[in-house]
Amino acid sequence: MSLLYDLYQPGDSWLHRLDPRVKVGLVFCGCSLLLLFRNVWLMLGALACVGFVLWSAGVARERMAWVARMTLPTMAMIAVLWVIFYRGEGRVLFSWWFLEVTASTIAEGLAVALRVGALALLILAWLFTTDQTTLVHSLVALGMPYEWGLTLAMALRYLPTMGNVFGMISDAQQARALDLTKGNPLKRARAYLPITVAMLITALRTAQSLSLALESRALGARRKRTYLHRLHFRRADLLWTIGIVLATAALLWARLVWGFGARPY
Amino acid sequence: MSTSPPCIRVEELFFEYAGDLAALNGVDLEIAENAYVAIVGQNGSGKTTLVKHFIGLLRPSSGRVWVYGRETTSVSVGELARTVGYAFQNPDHQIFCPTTREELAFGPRNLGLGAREVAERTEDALTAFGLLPYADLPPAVLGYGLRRKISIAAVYTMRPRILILDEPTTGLDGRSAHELLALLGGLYAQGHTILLVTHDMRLVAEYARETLVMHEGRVLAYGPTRHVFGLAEELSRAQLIPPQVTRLGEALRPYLRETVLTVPEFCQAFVRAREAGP
Amino acid sequence: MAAISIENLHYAYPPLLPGSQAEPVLRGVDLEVEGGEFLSLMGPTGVGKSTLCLALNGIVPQSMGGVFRGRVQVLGRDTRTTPVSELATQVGMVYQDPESQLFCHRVEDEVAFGPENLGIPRQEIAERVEWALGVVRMWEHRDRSPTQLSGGQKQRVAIAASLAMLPEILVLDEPTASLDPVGQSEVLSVIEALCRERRMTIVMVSHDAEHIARFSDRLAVMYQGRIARVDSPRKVFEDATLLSDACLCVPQVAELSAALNRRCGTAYHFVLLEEAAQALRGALAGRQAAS
Repeated sequence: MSLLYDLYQPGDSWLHRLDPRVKVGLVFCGCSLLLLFRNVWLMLGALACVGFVLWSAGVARERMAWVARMTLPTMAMIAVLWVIFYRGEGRVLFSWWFLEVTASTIAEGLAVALRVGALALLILAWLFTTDQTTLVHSLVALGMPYEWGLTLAMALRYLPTMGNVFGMISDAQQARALDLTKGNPLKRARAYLPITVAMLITALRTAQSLSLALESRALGARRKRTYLHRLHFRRADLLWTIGIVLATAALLWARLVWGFGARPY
Repeated sequence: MSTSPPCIRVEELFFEYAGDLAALNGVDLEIAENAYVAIVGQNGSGKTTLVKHFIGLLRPSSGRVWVYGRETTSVSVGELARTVGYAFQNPDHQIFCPTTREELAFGPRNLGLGAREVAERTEDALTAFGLLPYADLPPAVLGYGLRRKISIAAVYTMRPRILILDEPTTGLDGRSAHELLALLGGLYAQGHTILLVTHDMRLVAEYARETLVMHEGRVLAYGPTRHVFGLAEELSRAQLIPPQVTRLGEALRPYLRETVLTVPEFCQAFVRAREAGP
Repeated sequence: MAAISIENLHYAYPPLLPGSQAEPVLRGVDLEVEGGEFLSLMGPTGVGKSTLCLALNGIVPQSMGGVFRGRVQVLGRDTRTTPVSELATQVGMVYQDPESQLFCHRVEDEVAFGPENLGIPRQEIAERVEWALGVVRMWEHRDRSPTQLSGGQKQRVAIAASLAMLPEILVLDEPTASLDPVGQSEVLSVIEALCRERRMTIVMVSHDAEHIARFSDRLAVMYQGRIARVDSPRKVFEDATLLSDACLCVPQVAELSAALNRRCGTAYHFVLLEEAAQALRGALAGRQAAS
């Protein structure tokens, strides 16, 4: 059973104990700020910061390694593509055929890549430390319609199941001599078709059974739903909220009024 | 037991899933050619883990597995699929084609057979499994019993010498279950080796020649079905309940001396005991 | 008044391809189930047992659409007009596959899901969750994720999740089909206790003749879209023609009775192991004493 597909990791760190509504605010503000700033050094700092958050939340090493394996190749690809396809201003460092590489494009490319990494890590930090029910509850408390929150929570809950099913279908089709290793990338992608189709069919069947189960448990019976667990807003959460608001305001001011962090390097 | 070389040989097989979940704790086994073996045991006893080694989907953590003299680690899954067919527990994990005919043709095509051979085998399987009326329908919309048959037929078209079926009768009504096993009996008579992983002890008693009892990753008992069903202690340790007729035979122990497997056998034994006197 | 009353129910699912004919699944089902009764339902694969179950909590026809004729009344309410969410408080439904009916991250949250939807006050939800998990003997596992449980445990949680809605009727569609023998006996003992001790009405679809013989008050056999026969298990298992038409298995001892009767001219009608053991032991001992 692939434990890594199951995003939530139970624990008792400061991030786990933080009120989930405050976490949503933290993620929202964090993502907004990340999208506004463009300076490569700031992005590097932000990535390091979020990495530290993840580490201090007690996220297991295997999980961090998995996150790194998933994000680093994407980040590298983004940086390279950016440099290839964008033409920046300033002195040209290197030129070949249609390629014109300037210091600013390199900085921009790196900044974008680091930003993507920081965004991913921030959201993962949130999902690693908040269990589904609490997640839905916090989103609903902040005004999201319940069904949307439930859809998100169920998508998270079924990730490990679908991961398992993928493994089983892959085994089953390989047992019919399906070869997933030979041929060029295009041929190999086509070889995955039997697995993909079987997975889609299984997902549809599961979705139908799930909808029956949801209806049998009176989903949508009342407009106002109650919750078994209460969300507790402690003093620490209040301090965090104040801190986040002040920091976001200060950084926004610095960015929009002083232009701090607007340039790539 | 048979004197011909075993088609499957397992030596000191240990297997651990990622996360230190020991699934097999030292299995030694030899399965003869043209055997009909039922593999029984609780969920988690290692039944499925064991049979997955025979088709190379799992590689031993330690120990060795040979299929027809070739070690499974030296051969790809695709190669082993020529000799070992595996019908999975959930037929929906295999079904994906728009028609039943194409579904049955998938396996032989992957083996690289020519179009004529593929068509011949497909028609043969459609007939043997009674699937001709559904040949041009999408299997995904057919009923569960039919999908089950299709998934087994799809493995049969690859003409493997060893056929492994994982819980083929769950969810089927009585008659469908017996029909399916009668079909398997036909394949056994043609010389195939059948390995049946199942919970249904009644079907095991009626059809399987040999029974393998798994418990906590080890083989608790392996032998002719009649002998294994008489091992009360092993069966209770593996938390398996023999069929009613066998238990009835046990309950009438001083009068009936043999282990009874089926209803006709019980009738015979009962009549003999009645006529025998004290 | 019967707990469940089905009159001349005809139903066809909406056709798969638009424009094609809808295949009728239920063709005139008549059935009455008394309160506190344990009714088992048997029939060949695909005959419509699951459809009949879905008709009991209104999902057929309200959510499924299709062509519905006849009347289904559950505790006096018509399933066609009463909203599904309201019927859910009277009819609990447990399906075959635990994987697609347990969708929360913790057992406790799973059981609380139904009452939460009904807007029940928090304190009462906590009480219901504790009671329901106690009934199915899963209270110690309340903090665990359902994905870590065994099959039998998962189905027991599914039963608790239905119980938390405090239904008077529990409908189970092949709840033990995918379980191993240990799981099966765990689940069946819970269901049986619900019927005996709490007087719940139970409707259970099953293929296992031996469990049916042991636990059910009555057995309904479905065949060709109708209820072909509903009677005590003993009487139904004697009806050899019906059983062979409907492709059903009987308890082995019932098969044995028929075989012995043919062979020795006796008149045995066993459905349980204990009665067979007693009678046959008596017969053998008597024979021995006589000779």
